[in-house]
Amino acid sequence: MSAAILLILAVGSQVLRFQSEAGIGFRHEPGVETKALLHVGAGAFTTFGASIGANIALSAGDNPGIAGYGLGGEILLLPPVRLRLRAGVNHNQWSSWRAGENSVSMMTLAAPLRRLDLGVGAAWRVPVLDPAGYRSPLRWQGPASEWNLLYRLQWAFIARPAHGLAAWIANDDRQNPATAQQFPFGLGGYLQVRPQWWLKVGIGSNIKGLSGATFSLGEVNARVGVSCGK
Amino acid sequence: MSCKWDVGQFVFRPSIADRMADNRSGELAVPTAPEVNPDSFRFALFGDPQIEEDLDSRLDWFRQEVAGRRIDFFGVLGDLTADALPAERDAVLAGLAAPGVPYYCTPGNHELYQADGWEWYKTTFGPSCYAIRVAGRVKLIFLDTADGLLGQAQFEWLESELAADSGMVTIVATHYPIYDGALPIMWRLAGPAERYKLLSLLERYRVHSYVAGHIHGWRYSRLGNLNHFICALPPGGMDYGEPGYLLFTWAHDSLAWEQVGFTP
Repeated sequence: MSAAILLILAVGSQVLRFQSEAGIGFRHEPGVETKALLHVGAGAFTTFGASIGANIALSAGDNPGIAGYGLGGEILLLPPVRLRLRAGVNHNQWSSWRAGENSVSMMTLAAPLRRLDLGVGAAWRVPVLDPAGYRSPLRWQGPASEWNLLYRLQWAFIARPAHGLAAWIANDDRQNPATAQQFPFGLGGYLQVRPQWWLKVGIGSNIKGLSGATFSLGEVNARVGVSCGK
Repeated sequence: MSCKWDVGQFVFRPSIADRMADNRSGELAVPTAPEVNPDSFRFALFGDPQIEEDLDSRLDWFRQEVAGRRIDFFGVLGDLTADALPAERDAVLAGLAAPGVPYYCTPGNHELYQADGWEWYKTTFGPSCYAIRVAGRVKLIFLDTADGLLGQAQFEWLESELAADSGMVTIVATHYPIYDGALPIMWRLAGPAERYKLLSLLERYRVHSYVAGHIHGWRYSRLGNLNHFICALPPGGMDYGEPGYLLFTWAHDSLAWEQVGFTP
């Protein structure tokens, strides 16, 4: 038995690597909420391209407490164009409003060019609006439930092991999911600061009023954090 | 084909913060409540008459409905005209006045498509958000979602209005819907957090109905305890459903609703 465990661990150490990350963020949606965020996440990656991860976010300011948590996974289907299938389950909540949202999402992503990442998918979003039940992470039907198209268009200006910078138009952030009307965009980068340690930064915004051609900046999001792992 | 809109207004226009500052300035005449029989009265709500030169308005049909069904007053939930041009403005004012009963408006995105859009709106109709109390029975709160968001000042104002007059049946009327079915279409308030904040307020203060236009459709949804309506009376085709108006009837100490479909 112990030999079998040792064998599994030995093989596992060859095919698995682990990564964890933590960071702080800021979200300001004019007229809606302003809060600071603490993000923590961990993931396991295999050498053949499958991964699984979990994350949680806590907020301070408006809607203090748990902001959201989720589980996600990804599998590499076609290495030459990095065709991947990604799926996730997430729960977000807004404590002061006694409101929450459960969502399940699936996306297909590919990199037809080395610097270009494209993705498309869908999410099923279930608001939890009754004051007694907003904590429930297991509710998948309810009033105001809806499908949400997901997309990602990302271009890496710099993509090196030690540092990178990319711009994106995407609404697939599980912790801050956007509707098709919001048109989120932003910049993100990373810098290796020590062996196996990376500093990560990101800033983004989105636009409201697309359907009425009366455009307004919808929100500002900023995030800085570190990740470490093999 | 030339664009009739001042496209600069798509970005550079009075924001909701600017409009709220005007609303709170005390310089705009707030619409007064209609005089009705407190035991029995009727009112209608609809959005998007969108008067334009090349299409026949359905306001003439609505004028006959007001007379035939003895509607005491009505509200129009934005997009009064298609292009906010002077001739269209004159035509919609004539069309709204024709039934001869009080009417109330809230702006839509089309009201903002000309450089003088907000100036015309506020000098013609008064503030873009306000509340009227009808015979101590029904409170109608008109919100300004003309550019697809509520803004800090309006959220604060809305909560103060919802907290007051708790004995009345409350209806919120505005241009943008909160929800529009399970398919991912754009014609509703954009941000999930903004929608959940608004729904939370409406739920907490037990609002009876939320009525909107923007998309040219008819849809009824029950969101928790809230009746959520999309109801449009545009001159042309509909995105879904049939054109018409929402008729509310107060009788026997309760409020009932029905959709009245357009009949040519």
